[in-house]
Amino acid sequence: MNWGVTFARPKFVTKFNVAQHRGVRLARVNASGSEVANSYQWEAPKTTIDVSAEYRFTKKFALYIGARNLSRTPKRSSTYGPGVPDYATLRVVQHYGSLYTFGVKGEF
Amino acid sequence: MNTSSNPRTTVVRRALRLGSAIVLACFAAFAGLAQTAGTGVIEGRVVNSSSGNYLANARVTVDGTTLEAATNDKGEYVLPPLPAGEYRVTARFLGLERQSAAVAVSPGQIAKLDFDLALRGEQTRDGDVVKLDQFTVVERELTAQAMALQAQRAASNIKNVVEFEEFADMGEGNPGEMLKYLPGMSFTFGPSSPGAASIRGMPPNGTVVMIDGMDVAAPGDRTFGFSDLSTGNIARIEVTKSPTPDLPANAIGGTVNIIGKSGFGSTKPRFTYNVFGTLTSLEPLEQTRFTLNKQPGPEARADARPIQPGVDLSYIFPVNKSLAFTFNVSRSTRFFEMDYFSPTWNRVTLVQTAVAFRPVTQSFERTRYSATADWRVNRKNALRLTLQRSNEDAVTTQSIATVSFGAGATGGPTFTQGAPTGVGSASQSFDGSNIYRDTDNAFLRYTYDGETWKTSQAFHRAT
Repeated sequence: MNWGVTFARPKFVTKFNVAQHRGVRLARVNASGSEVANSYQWEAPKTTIDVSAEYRFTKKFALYIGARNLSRTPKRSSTYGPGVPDYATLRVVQHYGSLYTFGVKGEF
Repeated sequence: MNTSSNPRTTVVRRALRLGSAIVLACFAAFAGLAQTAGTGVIEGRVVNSSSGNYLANARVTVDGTTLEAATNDKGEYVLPPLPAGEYRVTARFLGLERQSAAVAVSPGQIAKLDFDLALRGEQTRDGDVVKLDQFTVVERELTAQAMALQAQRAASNIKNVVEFEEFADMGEGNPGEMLKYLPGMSFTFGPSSPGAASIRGMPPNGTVVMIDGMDVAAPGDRTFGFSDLSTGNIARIEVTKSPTPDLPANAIGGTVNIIGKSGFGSTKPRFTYNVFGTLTSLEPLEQTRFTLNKQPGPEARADARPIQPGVDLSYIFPVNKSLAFTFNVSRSTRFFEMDYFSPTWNRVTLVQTAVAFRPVTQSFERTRYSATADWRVNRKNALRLTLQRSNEDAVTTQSIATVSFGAGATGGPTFTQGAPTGVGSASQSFDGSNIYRDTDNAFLRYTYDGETWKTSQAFHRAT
């Protein structure tokens, strides 16, 4: 579920967005000496927060800043199988951090 | 003067002439069928007077009849043929004040009627019209949302539309930043940098990405990277999850159709610029170093400044009513760090057999160019040429520390015990790669847009 709040005035716009991703079952994992039958790869649920703000001095000049994934939510991937306890499911945790942007823009 | 010719060339020319004649005859027949004697046509354009942009999907109706037409991407409409007489025509667009005008239709003539729609200053409540003294709205956000809603309302099936002027910050110009909020869409790579799109949980290579309705090149496994695009030359993006028969059959997840800006979309030349910096940080905001100093990487070529610059320029140039151009160039560089932690479990014996830590640094340089030329040959026939090129140069380095607990290890939820014979190992390795990617797309589209019939033919070359 995604939701957000926008506050807009003629010269100023700010946005706060939350993206809530549910867990996604991915590819099936072949049974082997280390994987039980009927196992699947799984991407864990995650919530990311984005914020941005812009101040428009004129149509020709505006300043903006933004932050993506302000909560620095990592991506967690697991492998689930029948009878496999939670502690043994984790496959990889990827930390990407936050992305900050700032700049000027306009139109002539 | 040389009058001799190659027989094979002559045959090809004759075939082309014959084909052209058949096509033209068909269109002429369609046009003839569409317009009967004693009727005339009303046509014109609908413009947003607040922004100066022509409006797509505006509804134009003839009052007192069921006749209506929708405007195309150039804001143009053509109403079905009408018997000669006086008519009142109304143009509507979400969020904008409707406008009506009287027009006289003469037999065999084309009556021109253009509309300038302004932002709505009136609101209705319980059927009454309430006139507000001062009603200030934010033009860009309101009209962009209205344009997206209008496109969704006019769609032949369920479609999500993102209008790019709706968003305040463009950041590094990756359109995935806007698409990731759409229901059912998720992006691979990372939460702070959208890469390939997955629709309804299907793998990203099951998502067909199109530009102006044509498939675009996706190197490798057909997975399209949204970082190859620049928002500067995009008007809107349409996401369709349930393909209609006119969409590619291999779009098992859905389709993403990127609609480029049209040179005819604006009443006057427009130049837009966006100059920006980006910074990626693994640290919390309060500990993030906003520095321009170079930070050392695992090797010299991976050294980079955390804050990297970018620029996105676009120009729309409607020369006249028949010819228009758009140009866009963008360049961005970016440096970012990632940390990977990956334990390896034997999920049969429930013993952890290895663990790896992998700090990764990556620096990107992306340059994107695009240009379009629109030529309206006449009222019904139009040609569009689109050229796009993107280059990406990515340097990735990673230092991998791995501990393997060896054969015969035992363990449980919180520990691993190596075998008595001591066969475990610890290793450190370094990995570096440099990926250079060029993508070129060229489209030539012919469109016939008549009162009754509409057809579009396109040639596309992607490398």
